[in-house]
Amino acid sequence: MMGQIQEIFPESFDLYYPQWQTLLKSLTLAPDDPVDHIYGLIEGDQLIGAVSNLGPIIKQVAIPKAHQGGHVFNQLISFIMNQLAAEDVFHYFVYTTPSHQNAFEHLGFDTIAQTDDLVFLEKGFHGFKYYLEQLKTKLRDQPTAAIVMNANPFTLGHLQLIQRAAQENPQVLILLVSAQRSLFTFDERLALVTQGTAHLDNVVIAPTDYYLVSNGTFPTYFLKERAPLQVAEKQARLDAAVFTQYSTVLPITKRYVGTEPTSAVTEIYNRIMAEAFKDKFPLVIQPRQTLQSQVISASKVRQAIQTNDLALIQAITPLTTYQFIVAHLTELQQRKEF
Amino acid sequence: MNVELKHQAIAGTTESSDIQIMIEPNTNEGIEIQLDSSVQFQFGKQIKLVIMDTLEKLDITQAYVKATDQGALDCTVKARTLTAAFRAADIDQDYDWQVID
Repeated sequence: MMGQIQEIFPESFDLYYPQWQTLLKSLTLAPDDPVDHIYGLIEGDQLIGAVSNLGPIIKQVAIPKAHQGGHVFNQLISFIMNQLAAEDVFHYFVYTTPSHQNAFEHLGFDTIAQTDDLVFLEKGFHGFKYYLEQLKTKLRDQPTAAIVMNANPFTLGHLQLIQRAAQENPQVLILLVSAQRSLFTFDERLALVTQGTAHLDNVVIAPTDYYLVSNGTFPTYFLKERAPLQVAEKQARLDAAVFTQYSTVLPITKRYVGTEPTSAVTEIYNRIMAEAFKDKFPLVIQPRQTLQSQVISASKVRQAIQTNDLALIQAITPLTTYQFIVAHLTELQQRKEF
Repeated sequence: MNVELKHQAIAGTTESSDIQIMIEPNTNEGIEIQLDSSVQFQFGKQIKLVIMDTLEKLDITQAYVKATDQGALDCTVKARTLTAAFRAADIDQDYDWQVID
């Protein structure tokens, strides 16, 4: 018997929502992870499988043991691909455990990178190899320093890191995180980084196109341990594995990162990356710039937006970021942040 | 019948006995087919031939096709290819099903 797939709404009126929460918890998945849509496969009045998406990322694939290894998986993944196609999304990503790698590859997904704990796969026309080849055409064939940033929003801390890299290297590649899980949209973040670095002529800016994430955007739903530090270690290892592939195609000779003395997650991230890149290229760690002994960070700017502290924003952001925030203050205060 | 592909489109499912066809306009001349099939070894050539033949009947000469086959019969391959092409061309009425024969 084939079940029926329907959207499940995270509201009390949806009778299947409690079943869905129970199902996810039974599979050690986190029901509170942000998603755009949840779809459930209903047979009789039982929920026998579910899948969610956040933008093009397929997540929370949840199938009870009794229905694993059968048609339920194919039906759900197939359904969500068609749903995304209706939203003009034809490139899908999934983070999963190695135990599900075969099942996804069987549906035409290709593995981008893997570690002992995690696999990152995609399905679409122009995959990771094509993305890297396109990126290569934007760069001159010169030693290049790479910086991955979310720049949510672009601060003087980011600027200082880029300026240092631009002085020490013939070329700098800024990889801006594409995932839309930030207060500032991708287009806004891109515009502010572009304007803020317009005075540097050896800087190239490109989107990560979902291939790389920042530790603020990595999905944690699939990990048993909700402890942020163990999550950070696993995500850092996978992210480092993806970045290593960038360096095999592009002339990357160094990676620059900032530190955040108050964040243990960032510390772990940087330690894991240093280990992973050890024999390949150096990881340059730049201490955060401080203002009156306080570190400058994008999260401070976001807090200041909420508290109307324009003086602080002016002190720790480039003029272009400050002007943008002043012009859009009310709108930014009303936006919902994940 | 002259069908012009305007954007990406998808048709079919990845369920058993079906085929999922993703199609996209190709800036280069020619039709490029990337096929993943559970019966690639036995029927890979035949499936590609059916896709190619169906597109040619629609006068499509430039396309990328990504096909994920789960053991579909030829008639299914044809139907899914047609639907994907029509969707990519924004044709939502006056289908020319004649090309199936």
